[in-house]
Amino acid sequence: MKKLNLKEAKKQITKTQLLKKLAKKNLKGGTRGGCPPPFDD
Amino acid sequence: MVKPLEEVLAYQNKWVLLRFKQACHWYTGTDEEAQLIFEDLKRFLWLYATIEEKRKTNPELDLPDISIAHAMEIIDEMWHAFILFTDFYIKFCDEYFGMYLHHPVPCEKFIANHREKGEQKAQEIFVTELVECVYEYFGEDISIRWFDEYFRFNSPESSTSEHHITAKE
Repeated sequence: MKKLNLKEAKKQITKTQLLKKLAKKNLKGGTRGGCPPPFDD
Repeated sequence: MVKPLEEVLAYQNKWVLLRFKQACHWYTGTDEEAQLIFEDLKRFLWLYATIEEKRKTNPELDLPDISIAHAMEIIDEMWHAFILFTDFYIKFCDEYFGMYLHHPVPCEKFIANHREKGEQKAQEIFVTELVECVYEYFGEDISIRWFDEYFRFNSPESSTSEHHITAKE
């Protein structure tokens, strides 16, 4: 299947699909650089 | 009070850009791209402050955590460069937002979800809400840049296994 980047893909998908894809890609890699895990009290 | 985004974007600081290029040794982008990353950092900080202000004035609202998603690592690196100039950073936060913006972001919602639902679900909620919020405030092009295109600037230690998706995925 031909791979497209998101700028090309966005012409073929709805806003909801785009947001879902963007979120899905950012689930990988844990929380590095993102929210910290809870600190122990 | 948080100032309009246009005023925040007008702020410039050459020292932050110089520090970023010195410290971020794996960065292979151009000077123009570094300028855009700095602009995106200012957008990010403005959104962070805007949501914090809403949270304080309307504590009943269910608002997202505004923090750094995986693809936004390069914005975080620019943030580190800015914070090191403590005097510039404190004055910037005070003048444009009327509050100090801490790093890392406190992410109280993520922490509560982490405790109640586990890390995976907490991360899913955090990312989904952040993507929706960025789209709502800044639109499609900036959302794609922050959550997809900026993966190319992630550090070698960071996982960047899948940058491109299929249209039928």
